[in-house]
Amino acid sequence: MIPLYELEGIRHRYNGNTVLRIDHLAIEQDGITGLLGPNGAGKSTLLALLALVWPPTTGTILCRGRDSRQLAPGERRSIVFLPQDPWLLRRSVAANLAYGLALRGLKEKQDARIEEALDMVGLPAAFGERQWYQLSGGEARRVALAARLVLRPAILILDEPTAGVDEASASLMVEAILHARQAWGTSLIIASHDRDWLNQVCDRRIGLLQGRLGSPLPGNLISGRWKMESGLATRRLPGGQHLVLKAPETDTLPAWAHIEPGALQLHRLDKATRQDLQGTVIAVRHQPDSGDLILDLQVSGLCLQATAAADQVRTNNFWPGTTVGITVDPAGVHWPDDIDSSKNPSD
Amino acid sequence: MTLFTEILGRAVSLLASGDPGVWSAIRATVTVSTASLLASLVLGIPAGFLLGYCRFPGRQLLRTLTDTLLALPTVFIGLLVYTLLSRSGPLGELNLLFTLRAIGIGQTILGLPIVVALTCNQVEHLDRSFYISLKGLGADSGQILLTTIFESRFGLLAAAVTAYGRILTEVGISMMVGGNIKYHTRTITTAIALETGKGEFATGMALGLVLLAIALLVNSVLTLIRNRWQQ
Repeated sequence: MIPLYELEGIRHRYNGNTVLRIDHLAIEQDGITGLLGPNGAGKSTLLALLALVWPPTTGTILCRGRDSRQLAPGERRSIVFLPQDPWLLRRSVAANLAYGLALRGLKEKQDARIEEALDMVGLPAAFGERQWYQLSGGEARRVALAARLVLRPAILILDEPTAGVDEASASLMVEAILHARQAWGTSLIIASHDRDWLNQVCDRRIGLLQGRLGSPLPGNLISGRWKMESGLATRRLPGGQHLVLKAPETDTLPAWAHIEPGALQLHRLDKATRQDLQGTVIAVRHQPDSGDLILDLQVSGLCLQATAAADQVRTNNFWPGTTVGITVDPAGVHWPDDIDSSKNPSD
Repeated sequence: MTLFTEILGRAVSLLASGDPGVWSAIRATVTVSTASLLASLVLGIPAGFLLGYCRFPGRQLLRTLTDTLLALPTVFIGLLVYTLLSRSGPLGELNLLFTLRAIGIGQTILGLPIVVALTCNQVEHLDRSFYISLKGLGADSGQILLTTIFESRFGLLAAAVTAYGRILTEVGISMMVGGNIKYHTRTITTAIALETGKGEFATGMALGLVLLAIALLVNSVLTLIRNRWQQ
């Protein structure tokens, strides 16, 4: 089956900085693809490229096997994008929803479609008469989503669709997004900080870190004042403990350390094992695609993520509230040299 | 108070008497100012859009130049147009000097930097997310341009009001290239200058009040349009 998207040799630069480097990426047709990564990872940039908002600086994007630069206007319009900060036109809600339909010359049953889209995001039909300045932040985001859903797109790309909305609104929006998939077979690509939700609804996940493909688990990015002491990098944590890692082979210490979740090995406190840190388990969650569990740990004011086999968690009672010893495997520690979220315009 | 009452009385009686000289000046003022404003908008809105939207070498210089032209003195524009349209000037053969068209050319030059600068400002202040949102909905470049103009309509209306105010009240251009010819190129502002020169202060001020009433009428219409857009 031809992939929905195939990216080859993608490099995207902004203000002289390369913010995205993807040698090869294939996104399958149908279903929901989740995009995970910390702030500044390049998620919004990648989504904007997939939505054909602008072309990559170099590289090719194939959409359903065809070069995105050669797509006909009708094919381009089958891809619809909801950016992180959607702009509502300075007109009524109904006019906002009608805008995309007008671009496509779709006048038939316009009112019924607008009513249906508003209903999908939990807004009554009468809401269409409201002006843009009469909406709350959450309502504006729901209207922006409805303005995309009314188009019944083949591909819907959503950047943090539920950011900044209350739980009730978020739940309605999630329902509407899933309805689009069921009702119209829309292929969805979603970036969200809500990892739990993405894990629940996504058929597959893509991880991004510093503009490169990585594990869907973003890992632990630790910034701060690192000090070099006898070949080791040390950072004092807010609660008084010290995190000591093998220093990178560079003259200057980078501002960030990245520790893979699998590199945090957990031990019971009563076992005589070397411990780098102590922390408290605050949540245990299921990790899709594997039998392992994700453990959120509170370590001297830092929130870290570790993975552990379900058996290990059960045997050692690593349940929330338990204090555990933590050893850091040096093989899972990286010193990225170019994380700088301020350089990335879109994330 | 007596002087003010006299001026007001004179203004009302001037209009009520149907004095052909006064009504000719009012007609000339409204016609040429409106035509000049429309010309400024037709030329200035696309130019302002391009200046605010596109990135090209020398753009910043052009932007600074436009802002500088906001302070263009009307007598200087009058002199410039006079030089262009006089017999020995490059456009002398058109025989436009001392006509309403000559005043219109000068007033268009006066209004143009205002419309360009304010349109450019509006476009520049449209958020980056505006462009991304429209592209994400499937708009092409032409549709983005039209939507940008529509989204900037309140700012453009403000630009039109500002430009009209400047055009309506200028005297330097009308005097220099119009010549203040009665029943022909005399406008309200040149008539005020003439009456003041003759020592007829009350008539001059009465004409000033008429000018103010025209401005009030135009602004009221534009406010109605604005309110209608917002509903």
